[in-house]
Amino acid sequence: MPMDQEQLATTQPVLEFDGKRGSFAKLLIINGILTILTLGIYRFWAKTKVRKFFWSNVRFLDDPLEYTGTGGELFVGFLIVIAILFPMGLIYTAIGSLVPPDATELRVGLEVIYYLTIFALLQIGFYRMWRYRMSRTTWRGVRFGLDGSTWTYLKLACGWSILTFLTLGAAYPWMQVDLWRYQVRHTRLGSEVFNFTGNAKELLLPWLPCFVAILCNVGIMIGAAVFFTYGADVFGAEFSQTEQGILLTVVIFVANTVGAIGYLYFRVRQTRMQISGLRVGKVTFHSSLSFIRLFVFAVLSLLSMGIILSLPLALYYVLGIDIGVFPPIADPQPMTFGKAFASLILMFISFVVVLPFIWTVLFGFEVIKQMVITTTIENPEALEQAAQSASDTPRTGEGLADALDIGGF
Amino acid sequence: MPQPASFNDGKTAARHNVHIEIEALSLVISDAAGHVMARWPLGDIRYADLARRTPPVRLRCNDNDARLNLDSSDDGTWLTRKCPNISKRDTGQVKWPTWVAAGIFAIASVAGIFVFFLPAIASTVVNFIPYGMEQKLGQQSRDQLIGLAGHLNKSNKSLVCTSPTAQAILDKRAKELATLMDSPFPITVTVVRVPITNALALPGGQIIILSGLLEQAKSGDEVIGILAHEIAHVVRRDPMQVSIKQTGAALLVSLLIGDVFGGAALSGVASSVIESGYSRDAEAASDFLGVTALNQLGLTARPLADFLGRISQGDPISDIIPDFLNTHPAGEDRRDAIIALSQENGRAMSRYEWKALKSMCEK
Repeated sequence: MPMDQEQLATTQPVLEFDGKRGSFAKLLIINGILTILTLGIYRFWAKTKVRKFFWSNVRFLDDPLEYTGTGGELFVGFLIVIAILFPMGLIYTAIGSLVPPDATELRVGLEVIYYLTIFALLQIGFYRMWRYRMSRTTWRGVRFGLDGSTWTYLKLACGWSILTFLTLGAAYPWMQVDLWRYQVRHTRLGSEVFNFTGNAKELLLPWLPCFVAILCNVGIMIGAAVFFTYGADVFGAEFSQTEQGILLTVVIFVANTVGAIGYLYFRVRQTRMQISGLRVGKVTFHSSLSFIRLFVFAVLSLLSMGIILSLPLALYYVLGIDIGVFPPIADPQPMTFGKAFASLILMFISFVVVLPFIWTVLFGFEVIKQMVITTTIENPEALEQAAQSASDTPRTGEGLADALDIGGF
Repeated sequence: MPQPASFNDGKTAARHNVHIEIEALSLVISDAAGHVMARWPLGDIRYADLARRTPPVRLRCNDNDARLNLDSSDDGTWLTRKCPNISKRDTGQVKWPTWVAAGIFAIASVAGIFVFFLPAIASTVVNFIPYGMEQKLGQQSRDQLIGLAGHLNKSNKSLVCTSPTAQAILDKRAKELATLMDSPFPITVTVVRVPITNALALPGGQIIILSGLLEQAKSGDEVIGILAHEIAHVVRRDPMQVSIKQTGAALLVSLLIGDVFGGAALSGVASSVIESGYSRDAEAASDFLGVTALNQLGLTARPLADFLGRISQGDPISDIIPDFLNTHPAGEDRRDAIIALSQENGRAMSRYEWKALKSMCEK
């Protein structure tokens, strides 16, 4: 037997992914239907099913991860947070209604406080979400866990965010590395605490396109303000006002396309850095996640979304099949209430149900699959000595993260 | 006949190669040397992960951390068919009493928020809202409402009905009534071409009369009676309170539905359904205030009672909704109260003025 095991360890990959896209799509469809039928309440159980799917399809040293959380825990956590958030929202609304509409400075101040509060809640929600997920993840019966303090994390996140804001995004790679380091160094599998040795250096070049895109956008916002205030003088007097408008649009489009592709590249490099810097004692990790592959899948997903979205339009304007939502071509009249309502429903279903479905099945699934299969682990056997830890686990679910809708799955 | 399997004892992540065998009503798990590592009662054995049913089969005992992984060539039916609770679900750390309690508490608090908390908040907050702000808000919602009415207007006629004679008598009576009721707002009456029998008071002294109401009205006294009632709402700042309640309700609904559902868009609609209209008390108080002002002007309030009686008879909604749920007091109750209060017999306008008002939206 020991001989067999040694052979197994050397010939088979340490980390494997068994998930099938078809069964994932089926799961999402059933989840979607139940979520709509229950006016959204089912989403906690839906999330749990999706997590169980991914967790159980990742095998490490031949044994799968297991997600032990339940929809009920998420739901109760959510209710508790609602009980806190609602009065807060109400107080904010009440204060807002006391401020006269012409007190612009006071209004802006109130808005700023509102968004800062939301930002802080997002950070707290994220850390608590990670803590819950870790406590509900087991491998070979041993629970993961997240220690550390939510408040320390919040302070760290706030400090870095201010710095990132002030440097127009230049500090972003350092922020990402520092936050990840805090998170990883407080993550453990049973008794085995993770460590992180990566640094931001290798992210600086990948961040450059995004940084340039941010600078372009800020520049263009200023340019547009000048354009709309003073007329045709942004690009010099030899351009007409229309030409200047077109130029601005083209620059914004190019900058944001480059920025979006650059961001995907950055996220791939970031993920590689995040995984490759992981250490647990002698165990080391390495990721060779491929940008090209994810880029192709992103483009495929976007194309499919575009095709699906334009299908009703094509049916109507090319084939003349009316599904009851468009104004008559020949005789353009104001839409009736019924038609306006029908097109609203169609838009709602497209944007809230169909498009996220395509994106998750094509792109989201691929990201997780690639992240798993491109990760190699040296000395994985060292993790077998992990001992169960007796520390407390949260009793209810992610609450804040659910109320603020962060975290994807 | 012992079967090979691997076992995680729940204490460490080590993988033990074991042999398993059913003995009496238990599964005995023993290591290579023959030492018994665990003894699991068959009734307590469950699938470790219901999401993964493909081999290798993974099992656990109750909520314990230990896991048993059958050999990948072993489909485990020899064992699983003897375990009655094999597919029992994980209850998680939240046990069902917590669940039921949380559910009841949540429903009760949501109901409590709508029934007690929001109205109380609204009637308090309204006192802190400056009159100037309410007026601006009222003008905004008037413009919005007229914009919305544009969708219902199929004719080419203008949306806002105009007639110098009719507008003059409406403005004159509105001003008199508002002065008598100590209105903090100047009253602006707008007649809008919408074929619905209704009149509404918006925040800040904006009153909208829909053309459907003029069609249903049999005399100018009925219209002025309704005007008095709506001005009373304005004076009591009821429309402002409703809009505060709607804001709170929208907030709650969007939190509950969550963003998965495009909540923000839906919550506006949902909350206006939940929190539209005035309470019975607000209606009765406005009737009282309105009729008192009509009495002071020497005008009759009986036509208002007649109108309400006529409308409530033809109103299918009032027939369906039980009385205690309907925010508007039943037509008959209100009618009787108005008749009891009414003391005068004066007419609100001349025959000529009534004719102009009635035909205001026909042009």
